[in-house]
Amino acid sequence: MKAQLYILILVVFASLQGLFAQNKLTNAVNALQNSEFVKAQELIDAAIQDTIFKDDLRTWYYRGNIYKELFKQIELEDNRNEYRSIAVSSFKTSYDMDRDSEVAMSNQSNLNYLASTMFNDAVNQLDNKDYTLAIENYEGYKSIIKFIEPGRDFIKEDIQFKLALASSYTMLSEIDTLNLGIYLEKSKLLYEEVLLLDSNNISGNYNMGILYYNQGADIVNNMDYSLDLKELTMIQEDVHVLFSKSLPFMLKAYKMNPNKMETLIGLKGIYYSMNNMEKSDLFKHKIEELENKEIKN
Amino acid sequence: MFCFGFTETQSSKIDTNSKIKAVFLYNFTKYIEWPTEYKNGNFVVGILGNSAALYKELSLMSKTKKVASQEFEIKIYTSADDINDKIHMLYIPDEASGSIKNASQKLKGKSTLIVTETPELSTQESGINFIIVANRQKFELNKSNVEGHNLKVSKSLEDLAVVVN
Repeated sequence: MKAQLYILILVVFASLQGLFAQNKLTNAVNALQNSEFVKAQELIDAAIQDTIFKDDLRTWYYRGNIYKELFKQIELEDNRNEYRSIAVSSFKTSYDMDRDSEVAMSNQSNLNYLASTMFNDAVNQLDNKDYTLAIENYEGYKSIIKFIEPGRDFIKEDIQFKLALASSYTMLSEIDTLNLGIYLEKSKLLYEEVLLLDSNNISGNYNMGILYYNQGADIVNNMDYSLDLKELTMIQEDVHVLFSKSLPFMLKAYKMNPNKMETLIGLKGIYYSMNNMEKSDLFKHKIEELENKEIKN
Repeated sequence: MFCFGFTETQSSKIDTNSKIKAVFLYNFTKYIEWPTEYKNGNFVVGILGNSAALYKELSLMSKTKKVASQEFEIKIYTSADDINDKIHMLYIPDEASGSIKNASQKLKGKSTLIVTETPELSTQESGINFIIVANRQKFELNKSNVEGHNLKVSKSLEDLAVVVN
């Protein structure tokens, strides 16, 4: 009799637990639909602890939606990224459980949306010189897209991102001159990466050429007029090395686009600084020709 | 979605050759001695003809440097006929090299160092002539031409120069 009573109590307890869990999920969805996102968050986080629901892809799908809404509610707070990160991992979990389920497409489009917000954040953060966050968000964007489309090629986007980042570092080197060397080295590494991805990239070649050329020109510009002649000879050697390094990149950029004004100006300057007046004059004439053509057009 | 934008870095506007020449010219004042009567007043550096970049550099230099207690004064002469002052150094750019004989006539008996940048001029009236050796700026020194203007050349300058006679 006692044993039967215990069994009855257990059955009732288990049923109540199931009902409570069912309520947590249903209530979470209801709260989501009523835009009560904080309440929905509490309920859904409780639901994923439940063995009944943690293996149900719908639980993760709704969790993704709840956290996506929380993320959308907040623009500047620190936990914005945390909400997005949880939304992403929840949609991923749901999608991984069954890639042909009724919510699979919705998981995909939500992930795409969240990836696009990371990409946009990276663009803004680059503009605001938050380089670490920009890199994190850009990599986050790629990681989501790779999850949805494993074979996706990021070469074009990588090149654009690296060029933008390198350009920011170069601009920063002009402002924060104390750390000029560090920023220029970062820019150089990024241009090298761009050229590894596409050796014919015009901007990569042009900027790499300019980077070396400007480094040499800056050394000359910063020389004191009373510099000893022996030191001047040594400096001339150093800058000649930099100008020589600059030249092949600039010539490659010229080969890829002979009508790019910046490249012509760069080549004129490099040859002039290398005391090759014949070639400097050649590019001076090309600049004049291009200017005349632009006036006529 | 937004897109990543970037601006192409602009090439430096520095005229590197003029800066290097300005450093050379300042050094020449350390290795060449002018007679006593040239050691007062301003230290005048004249440029014959149009060399805007060098003028700009020398003007910048004149703001921070002196020759002993003498302030620099940078002058431009559009023609050799305009040279009537006591000048310590006259720079004749390649474009004005045709005027060297005239300029030299005007400076006869004066302690003016004539600096040029035209091949072969060092064997004529020029005291110092800038030359390009393996894409580097060097200079030729014609000691007798310099001394002919009553200027003393230090041995150290001879050691650094390509000496011609």
